This record gives sequence, structure tokens and C-alpha cells, in this order.
Amino acid sequence: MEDLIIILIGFTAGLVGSMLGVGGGFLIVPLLCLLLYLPMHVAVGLSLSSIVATSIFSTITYSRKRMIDLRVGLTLEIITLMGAICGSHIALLLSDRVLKVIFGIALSYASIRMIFPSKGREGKRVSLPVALMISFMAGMASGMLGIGGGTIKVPLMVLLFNIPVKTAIATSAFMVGLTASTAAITYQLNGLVDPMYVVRIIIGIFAGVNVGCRLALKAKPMILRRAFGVILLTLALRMLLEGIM
Amino acid sequence: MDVQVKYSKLLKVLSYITLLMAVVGIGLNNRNMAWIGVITLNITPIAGIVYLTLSLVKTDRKTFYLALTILLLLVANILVNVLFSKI
Repeated sequence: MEDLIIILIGFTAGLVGSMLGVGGGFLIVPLLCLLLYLPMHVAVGLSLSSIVATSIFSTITYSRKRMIDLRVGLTLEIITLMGAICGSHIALLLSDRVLKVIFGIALSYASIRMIFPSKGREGKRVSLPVALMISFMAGMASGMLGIGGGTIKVPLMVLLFNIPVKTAIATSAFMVGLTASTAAITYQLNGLVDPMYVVRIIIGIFAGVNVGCRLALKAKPMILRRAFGVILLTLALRMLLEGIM
Repeated sequence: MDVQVKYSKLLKVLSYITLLMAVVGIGLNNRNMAWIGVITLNITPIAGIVYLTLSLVKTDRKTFYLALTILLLLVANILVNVLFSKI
């Protein structure tokens, strides 16, 4: 039964992620914690391993179409990697409850942004030091909470380097794989990742992404985004409560 | 052939190995196969960076140095984890 639940969690993450263009980390971590009662560190390690898989699947397509801006991606990735290394090591020092509270706060913010999206960013500019700081924080969040961080990286690249959104999305997918695999290695080498769980999630994600890509053409993204935002907000509150109580 | 196209092919081959090991690992309920799949999965982005570093050395020096820095960071992270991990 547990095996089936894990495959279903991967499937859901892959399905929703591919339909909305978001990573599955924000969904995988709370579902593993709340449905299977896995410790937060184990859930984060599993989520990071599965994010590597989703990132590789999308990078294959983007790279074949030469959509990745290697210089921009590698420049920002140096700082993001440092953040991911720091984040994953800090997470190992934190207790399960503290990590749940931090995750709950981050997920609440992300879900509110999904329900009430911000207005366009035309005309806004970001300076290089600010961008590097944001990159570091994105990497740290990725290493600590098991998320990809693409939602932070894409607008940052568009604002800082003035590159097309499609190129930014492709470059972000390329970066997320490197960031997540670096952080995942830390969790794996500390004995927090069960390989049987990882392979089940990967199979689920692979199936979910394939179905999601077909459904995405028929779905209305705005309604889906808001509905998903409400579900995420519920999960965020549950995580917060578990961390505080 | 373009660097990115070759990079894509490398990732594709390694992801097929990961998927194959995942299916075999689940089918046979074999932890070792599953571990091979997980390790291949983690090696994939690192192998990609190694390939980029090697192929950019003559064509694009600036990007080569960026790729090399990332490669060194990845290796340093693995070494730190191996030396100080709890297991």
C-alpha cells in the first residue's frame, strides 16, 4: 500500500508540475510528511532526488532545441550551488519541527502568490549584487526545503539579463538539476534517502509528466493555478500546525 | 554537432539507464539496482558539467571557467560529505 502511495505522490507531482510549469517539490514534501508520516529530512532528500529527475527530463528537450543560455545559467549557478550546499548542511542541523515551520511559511507564501498572482514586472530592474543574493537564497531554500526554485530563477534571469522568458525557463531547468543533485547528495550520503522510495517516485513522475503534457493543452491554466494554490495553502497550514504543536 | 545537442544526448542515455534501473529495482524489489539508478541519476548533471567543461575549453574560455568552477564546487561538496557524513 505504501509503495502505491509513493508512486501516486510522484504521479501527482509530475502531473501538476507539467500542467502548471512548476516543480513538484512543494507538493512531494508535504504529501510524504502528512500521508506517510516520513521525517522532514527524509522527505526533503526524496524530493530533491525526484527534482533531479524532472529537471533532467525537461533539460533533454530544451538542450536539444538549443534553448539554454549556458553562460547566464552557469554564472548564476555558481552562487546558487553555494546556497544549496549551505542550505542542505544547515537543514541537517535543524530539528524536524523547525524545518516544518520554515517549510510551512515558504509554502504559504508560494500558495498565496499562486492564488493572487502579482502584476507584470515591466520596467523593473534588478542590480547584480541583489540578483546574486537572491540566487544564493534560492539555492539555500532548495537545499533546505527540497524545492527546485525555478519560480525565483526565471523572473530573475529575465529582469537581470533581459533574456526571453522561454530561454529563462530552459536555463532554469538546467540549473535546477545541478542545484538539486548537489543538495540530494548531502542527504544521501547522510543516510536519509531510501533508494526504493526514490525509484518509485521517479516512475510516478515519469508517468505523471507524460499525462500532464497532454492534459495541459486542454486545461485552463489560471483556474488550475488558483485551485492548486488553495490545495497548497491547506498543506502549508497542516505543516505549520505540525511544526508548532 | 552543437555542444547543447551532444549534451542532450548524454543526458538522454544516462536517464534511460536510470529509468531501466528503477523499473528493474521495483520489479525485482532489489535495493542494489535501485541504488545504481539513484547514483546514475545524481551522476547525470555532474557528467553533463564534465562534458561541457571539456567541450568548451577551446571554443569559449569564459564559459569554460564558469563550468570548471561549478565542477570544482560539486567535487568539493562530495568530498566534504564523504569525509564528514554520519554514515
